[in-house]
Amino acid sequence: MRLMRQVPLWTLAACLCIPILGCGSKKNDRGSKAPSASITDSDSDDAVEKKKKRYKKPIDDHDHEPSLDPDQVEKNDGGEQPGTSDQPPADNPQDNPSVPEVARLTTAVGVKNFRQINATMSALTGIPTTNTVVAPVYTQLASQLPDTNDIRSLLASHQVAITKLAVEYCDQMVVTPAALNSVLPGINLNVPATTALNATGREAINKALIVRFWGSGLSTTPDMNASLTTMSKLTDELLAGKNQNNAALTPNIVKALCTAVLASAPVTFH
Amino acid sequence: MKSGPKRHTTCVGLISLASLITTSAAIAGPREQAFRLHNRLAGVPPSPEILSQMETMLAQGDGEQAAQLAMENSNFYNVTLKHWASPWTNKDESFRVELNDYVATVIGMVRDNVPFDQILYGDILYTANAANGIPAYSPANNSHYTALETRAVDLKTALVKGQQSTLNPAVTEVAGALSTRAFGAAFFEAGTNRAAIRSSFLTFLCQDMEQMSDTSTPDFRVRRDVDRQPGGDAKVYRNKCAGCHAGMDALGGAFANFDWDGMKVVHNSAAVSQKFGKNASTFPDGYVTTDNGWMNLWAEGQNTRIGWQGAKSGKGIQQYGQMLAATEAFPICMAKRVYSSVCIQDMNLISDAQVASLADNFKADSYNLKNLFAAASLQCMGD
Repeated sequence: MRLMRQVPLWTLAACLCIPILGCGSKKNDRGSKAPSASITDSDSDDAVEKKKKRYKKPIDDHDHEPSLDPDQVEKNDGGEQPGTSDQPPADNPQDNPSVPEVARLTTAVGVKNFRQINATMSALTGIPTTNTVVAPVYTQLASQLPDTNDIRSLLASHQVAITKLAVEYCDQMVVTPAALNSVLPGINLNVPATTALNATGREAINKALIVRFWGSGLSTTPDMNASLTTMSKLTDELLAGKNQNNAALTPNIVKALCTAVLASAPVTFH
Repeated sequence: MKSGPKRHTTCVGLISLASLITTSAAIAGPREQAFRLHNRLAGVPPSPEILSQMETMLAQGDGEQAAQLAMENSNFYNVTLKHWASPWTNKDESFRVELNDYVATVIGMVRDNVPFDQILYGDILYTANAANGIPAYSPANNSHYTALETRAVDLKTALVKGQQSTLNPAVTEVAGALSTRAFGAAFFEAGTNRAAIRSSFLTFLCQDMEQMSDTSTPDFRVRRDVDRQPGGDAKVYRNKCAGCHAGMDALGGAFANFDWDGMKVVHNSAAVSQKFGKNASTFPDGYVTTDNGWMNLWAEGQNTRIGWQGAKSGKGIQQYGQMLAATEAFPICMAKRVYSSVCIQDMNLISDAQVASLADNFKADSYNLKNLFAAASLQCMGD
């Protein structure tokens, strides 16, 4: 956990991503634009109530409009045995309009469980799970990592643990020459940040991390240019106020960049 | 929550998540399908080389071969199967248990394409070679498997098929998982071994006792420790208790010779375990277990839906396991469990009809579980 003191809090905050499920607009099954159901800090109490009412649908509503109301989701999910509803079940729950939106999403996207996350980070960084630094941290964090693949059970605390584990894997990846050369081939981190993390250098590092950890040629991963822009801004923030002529700074910044990519959804979701 | 540029840069994960959710189902070509297939089956992303190979296979319409290639990854055994079977081995159905003989045997059987119905009756046990600090297998502790897990030994290559009757000669009645140490530690400890019945039904038929409960079942095999007038009301017994106990106690004889002494499974083929006589004074006229004979009183009535085949009565856990393995519910249950695992679908949302073809093929394919994983994963790799 040594690195934790050197990495800004954003690496943890970056992963408190649960609200994204509720924020932003999203097309519903009928193709219309659904207004945001998220309740923000700026909402007044009245606004909160209005939003709750807007999404409160009667349980016996049979128009099968996907509902975002958690009460109804809970009622439909698990509370009703298959085959007991008025509506005959479709072969695939994804095609079944009576299955709540959240339940259908679970088929499309899942969060990796604690074993999968550990194995994934190991495979991507080239650091074995038995690494003497990583292994005890994993043992300590395992109970805080997701139990199952059910995305509905994902909590902010899970993401914090994922990030902590990523910190350790990235720390070991950077200090292990073979692993570093595999993830960032041909990149020299023993030079000042002014050189290693200039416009060309940071793009090379960030691109290599993204390609290695997220995969390449996949339409399901975030846009590369947009991701590089975000990572570049992040690099600026990490460098701000630091002595960029100090060569010892470069590996630490790269550990943080590595953590950001390794702890992100394209790695931990499937 | 802060806003502004700082907030923007904190959203790498958020952007990624949104993108994944909005595009994963809609835009999935062979490459994306291959990526998901590998992640779902092995729990880890594929290497670029494997991804390209799988992409080519999928583009050529050979999904089966692509899935088989994904399952070549050791993590299919070390991660996916271990996680899949772990809840079966403890009462709490927790995923967070150490590797044990039960889970190792499941993993080994899948690797070796052993017909998986034998998990209920086969004389099988998987261990690893004791070397490099790995203690030898012992039926009296879990050290062997704990060491395999702690040292991250690759189970794909390390597991060796053996016979329970040889590795644990003190137990002369073996039946796959039902006579493993982990099963005994979880379901023979204390109690009256009814937990063993419940676990075997829940794990392999996907039926809990509430679902099996049938108050029309004759109750002549209900044992002496069940109160016939709980709270002074005989109706409660007749309308509630008997629904489960009538069938469960009639089957319970299968485990009559088994007990758990805190370290190992205890088996005495000559005598019924003392626990079967517990609380005999509760209802002295109840059934007295005298041997390991059992009968399936749920074979009639509403529970014919289980699809029982063959003998409805027998002796010991091997015949009991064979009866469960021969049901129509067994392949359906396994198909549901596999589909739930690789397609990340709540078991409660999976209908029998949804997995009917998977179950049929599983049975016709000599209960080959690896092929079942492959077939199920292809159903949800994206359009």
